[in-house]
Amino acid sequence: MSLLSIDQLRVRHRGVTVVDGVSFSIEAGESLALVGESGSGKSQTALAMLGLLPATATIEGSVRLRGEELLGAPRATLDGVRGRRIAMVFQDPMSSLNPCLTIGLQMAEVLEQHRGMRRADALREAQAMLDAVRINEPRRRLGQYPHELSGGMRQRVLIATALLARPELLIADEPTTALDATVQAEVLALLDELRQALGLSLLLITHDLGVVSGHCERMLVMYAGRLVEAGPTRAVLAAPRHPYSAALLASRPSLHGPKPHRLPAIAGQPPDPSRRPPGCAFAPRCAAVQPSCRVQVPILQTDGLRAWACPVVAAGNQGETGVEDRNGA
Amino acid sequence: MLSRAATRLLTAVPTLFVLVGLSFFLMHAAPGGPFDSERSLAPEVEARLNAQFHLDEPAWRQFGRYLGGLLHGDLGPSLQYEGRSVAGLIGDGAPVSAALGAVALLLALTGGVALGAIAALRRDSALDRGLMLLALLGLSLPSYVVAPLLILVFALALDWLPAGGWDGPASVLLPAVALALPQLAAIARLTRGALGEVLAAPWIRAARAKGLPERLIVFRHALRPALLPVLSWLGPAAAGLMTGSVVVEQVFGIPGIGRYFVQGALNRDYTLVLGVVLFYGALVVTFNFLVDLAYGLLDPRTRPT
Repeated sequence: MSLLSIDQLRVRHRGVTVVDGVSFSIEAGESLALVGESGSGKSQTALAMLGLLPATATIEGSVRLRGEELLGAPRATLDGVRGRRIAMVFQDPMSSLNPCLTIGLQMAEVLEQHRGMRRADALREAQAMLDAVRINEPRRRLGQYPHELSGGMRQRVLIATALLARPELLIADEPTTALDATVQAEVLALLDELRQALGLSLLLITHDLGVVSGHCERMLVMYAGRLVEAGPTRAVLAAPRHPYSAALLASRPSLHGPKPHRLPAIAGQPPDPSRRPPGCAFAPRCAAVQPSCRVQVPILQTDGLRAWACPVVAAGNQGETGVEDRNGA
Repeated sequence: MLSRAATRLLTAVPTLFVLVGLSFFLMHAAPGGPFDSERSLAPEVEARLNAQFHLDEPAWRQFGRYLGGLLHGDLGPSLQYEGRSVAGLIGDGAPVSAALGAVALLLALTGGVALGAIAALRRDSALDRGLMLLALLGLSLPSYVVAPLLILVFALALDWLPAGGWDGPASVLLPAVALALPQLAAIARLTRGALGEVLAAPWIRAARAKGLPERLIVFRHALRPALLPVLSWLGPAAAGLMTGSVVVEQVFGIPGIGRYFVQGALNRDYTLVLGVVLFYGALVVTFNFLVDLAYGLLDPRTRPT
C-alpha cells in the first residue's frame, strides 16, 4: 500500500476550480517533486491534503494515508496526522513562525502535543534537533524570537520543527524560494541528508527544475490545476513528453553555450483559473497544438513508468512535440 | 530598558508644558471672565477680585505666576468654589472617578475581548452578526440614554441595584456599566478585526499544520498579537475612563471630577480648568507609557535589544 494516495482531488474556491482531478501516490521513503508555475495548483493540492484550506473551499476526491481517508476527517483525526505523521514546511520562513513566541516554545509544543512530553524534555529534544539541522548555539536559539534569526536559520528551524515528531512524510512547499542561492543549496542538502537518515518520504513543491533534478527521484508536472506529466525525474528531464514540460525545460537558463540575447520563455500567459479554455489548458501556448486539443481535455496516458496528458505525443516519439529540446538529451 | 523608560518619562515634561500653555492662552482668549454673571458686580468689587487673583496683570505674567505655582505643586485657588484649592477639588473627586473608571475599564476590557474573540471565531455566523450589531448599538447610544435606561430597568423596575449615589460596591455597578459600554463595544470590534486578521496569518496555518488543537491556536498563537491594537486603544481610553464622565456622574449623582471639566469651562474658572486639563494630560501620558511597556511584553519585536 502506498504511504499516501491522492485520487481525483478537486479544489474549488467560490466556483473557480484550482485543482482539477489530480491523482498520484507517494511511496514510503520516496522523494517526489510537484512542479509547476505559481498558480498551477501545486500548493493548493498540498494544503487540501492536510485540510489546511479555508472552510470556504470545496474539496472533492480522496486523500488516503495508508488507507485512512483524510478528506473530511474530523479535526481530532487531522490533528493526529498533521505534524505527527505528515509535517509541512512552508515557503516563507519569515511569516511561518509566530513573531510573538520563542523558537523554543514553537518547537516544544509539537512534542508536547504529539508525544505528551513535558516542556523541559521537549525543549531538550528541540535543542538536539536544532543541532541536527546545524544551527549554531542551539541552546540560545530556544530563547530567541523569530526576528532575531536570519532567513536561512528560520527555515532550518521550520525544518527541525517539522521533523521533531518523526513524521513519515514531509511536505516542503517551496522551502528554499525565499532564501539566497548558497543558503538554498545548504538547506536542500540538509533535507536530503535528513530524509535518508530518518527514512522519511518527501513531497517537494517547487517551480525550480534545478532543485528537482538533484533531489527527487520522481516528478509530477502541474499546469492550470491539472497533472500533465509524471515519471522518474531523470527520464522526464531527459525527454519530456508533454509539450508544457518540454517548454518549461527549454526555458531554463543555461551556464553553457553562448549567452542568449533574451532568456527563453514560454509564449503567452498561463490561463486565469476562472477562464480556463476548454480542452487542453496549455493549447493556446502549445507549439504542437492540434484542433482536437482545443475541444477535449486530454486524458493522462501511461506506459507503466511514465504518464502524460497529451494525445499528440505517443510513447517513444517525443521528438514530435515541436518544441526544440535545447538540452539535446 | 530602564534608560528608555526614563527618556520616555522625560519627554512627558515638554508635552505637558505645551498642553498647559495652549490651554492657558485659549482659556484667556475666550470672551468673558470668572466674575461675569447676570447680576453684575460693583466695579470696585470686581476690580478687587481681579487684583486678588492677579487677573489684572498681563496674560504672560499670569502664566509665569501659574507655572511658578506648578513647580511648587500648587494648582492655585479655584476662582468659583470659594475657599477651595484646585488641588483639593481634584483630590476629593479623583479617587471616586478613578475607582469608577477602574471598574468600567475592567468590564470593557474583559467583556470586549471576550465578545470580540467569540465574534472572530464564529465569523459571519448569526452570532457574529448579532454581536457586531450590539457593538454598533453600544457605540452609538449616548450615555445620557443608556444611563437612565439602566436606572429604569435595574433600579426602578427590578430594584436590584441603587439608582444613584456613591455608597458601597452595589452603587458602582450601574454607572460602571454605563461608562464601560461604548469602550466595551469599541474593544469588541477592535478585537474581532485584529483576531480575524491574525487568524489568516501564515503562521496560524503553520501552527495548524503542526497538529495543534484550536484551543492552543487561538489562545497561544492568535490572541497575543491580536491584542496589540486593543492595547494601543487602551492608553487614551483608560485615561478617559479614569477621569470620569460628566453625564454618567451627573445622572447617578457621583461626586467625581467629571463635572469640573464642563463647569470649570462654563464658569471661566481658569485655574480649575487648567488643573483638570493637566491632570487628564498627566493620566494620558502615564497610560500611554504603561501601554508602551506592555507592548514590549506582548510583542518581542518592539523590545529594545
